[in-house]
Amino acid sequence: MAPNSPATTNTAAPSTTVLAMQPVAARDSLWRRMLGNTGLMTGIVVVLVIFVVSYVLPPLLHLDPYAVDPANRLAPPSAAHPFGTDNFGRDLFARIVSGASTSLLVGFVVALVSGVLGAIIGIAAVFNSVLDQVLMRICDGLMAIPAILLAVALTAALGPSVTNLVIALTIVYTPGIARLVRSRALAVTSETFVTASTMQGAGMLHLMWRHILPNTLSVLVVQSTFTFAESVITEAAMSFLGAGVPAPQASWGNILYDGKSVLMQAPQMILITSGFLIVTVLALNLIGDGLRDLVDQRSRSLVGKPGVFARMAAVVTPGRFRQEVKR
Amino acid sequence: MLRFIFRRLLSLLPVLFVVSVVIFSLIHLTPGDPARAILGQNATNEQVAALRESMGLDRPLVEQYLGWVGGVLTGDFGDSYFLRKSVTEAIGDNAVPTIQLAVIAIIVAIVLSVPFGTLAARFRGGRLDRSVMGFTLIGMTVPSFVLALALMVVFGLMLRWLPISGYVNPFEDFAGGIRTLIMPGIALGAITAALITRTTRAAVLDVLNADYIDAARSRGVAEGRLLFSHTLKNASLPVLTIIGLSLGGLVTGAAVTETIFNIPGLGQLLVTSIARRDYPVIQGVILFVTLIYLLTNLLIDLLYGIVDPRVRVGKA
Repeated sequence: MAPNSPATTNTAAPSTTVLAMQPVAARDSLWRRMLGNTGLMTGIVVVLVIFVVSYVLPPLLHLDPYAVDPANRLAPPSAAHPFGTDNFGRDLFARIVSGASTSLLVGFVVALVSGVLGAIIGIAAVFNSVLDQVLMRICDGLMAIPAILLAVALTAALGPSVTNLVIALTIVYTPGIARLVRSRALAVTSETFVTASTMQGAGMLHLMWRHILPNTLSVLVVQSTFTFAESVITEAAMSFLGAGVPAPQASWGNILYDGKSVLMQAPQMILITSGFLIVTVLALNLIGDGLRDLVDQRSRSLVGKPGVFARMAAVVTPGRFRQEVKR
Repeated sequence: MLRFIFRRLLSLLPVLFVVSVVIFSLIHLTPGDPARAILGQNATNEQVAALRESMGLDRPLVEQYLGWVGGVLTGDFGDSYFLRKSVTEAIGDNAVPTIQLAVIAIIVAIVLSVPFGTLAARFRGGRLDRSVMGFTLIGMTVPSFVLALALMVVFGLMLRWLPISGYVNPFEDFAGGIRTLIMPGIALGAITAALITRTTRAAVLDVLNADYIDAARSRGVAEGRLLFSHTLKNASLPVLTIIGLSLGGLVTGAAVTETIFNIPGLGQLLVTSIARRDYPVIQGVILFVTLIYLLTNLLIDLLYGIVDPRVRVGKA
């Protein structure tokens, strides 16, 4: 057909050639895109600081979350007790720091274990339709029971301890991740490269490990981060109900539980602890949001303006920053 | 429509089966002998054996399960070990405050979220949008029981406007009942509102870009009517979904929040029952809340069919 012949159809097809001719934009390195995402970096820094503080400070300052000082109950903040003392005269700062390690540990382990289990279940479901039906019905059933209630009941049945708390929360959060991984894996299996690999004689395990898993990893990591945040909240809520971390051990929920009964005399107990809880969960949510932006192809182009962290890195490595400005 | 309802009901069956197995097995997850765990170490072997028999623990597992499910289907959840009444009665007594609280919370949540979400979408990128989105980020982060504690400190202790604990049935004393329920209701509703606001904003943004909105505008439909009638109606499907999904969280949230305010609801019943290892009550409460959640979601699904005829035809 001659290039300028009259169109035979009413609608002109949009020219894809012009679009395809544009040079492919240089891909940012993962590291630079992370630095450009201020929310993500803020979240990571906050969580790391709380994590390091909760493990380094207690042995360094000889903080004892169990040391009782009955003469000094419900003391207001002072030089000796920066956050005051609780209803047993225990140092609130020591308890919050110790509670931070409990809360973060529970959240992290739950996120990790339910992430791994969810990935295994989700990917396995894609390869066998009978297994798929069975596993997904079980997931549906578990997800129908409200999270905190199921976790509280499971912990109560297994007996109150941190390990059982982690088991209960893992049972609660694995189905959601499994469902998500399954839907993503289902989409990946219909891709042509999977068909190609099958035709080359790749075995099921090879397909799972080399093709399906890497392609579901982004969803998995993002969801695990949100599960981390959820577990921290749920753990606090459960301990607050008196059905989570058993009593003498410190956790943020336990401190809130103690603080509730002395709300009149020492409101700082609740205010400071909730402050820490909120900041931690906010930081984790920022990490989750940031990771999602990072792996989501659509929003990649939106990350462009160098934020605080990109500028801070630019001070250390000036060469990189100039590149960033030029683009 | 009937076929749609039937199919939807049928899909509930496997879910209900799994739920019943999980809740039934709670009692058997206890390490060791549940009867011994309930009675404590000081009980004699005869007492334990008697309790085992009355709990039916000496029968085969399948028989126990079928007996329990059969009871549940006829509305018999068993008897509480401690309360001197049946589980059905205990739940009936305690469900009223929890459901009232959940209803107040959902009203608060909808009143806050739908207008603000719609306006945020309309003035996208503006100051209102940014502050609404900021508040929703806080709302998605703060657990409702923490907000409840904060409200308690401010309105109960510092300003002394509202009582910090206790419960009055609004059906008996409306003003007094609302006074006791409004603070937990706001704590719960404001947190729930965060997610609904975000969904409303996203859904309205989607619809605002549609051609028929431009068409309506060019016909001269007033801007307010355009936004709240034309747009919101078409954006209502995702909003309904998220309201339905948050109802489960709301009833659970009500259970946690009410223990803070000493409201004698399902949450308090559950917490005291767990402390006493009162298994029939624990199982009953969890099953009851799960059923409420499943039924509300079923209703919302059916509501879709009414709001959006496409759902009825397609494979939902």
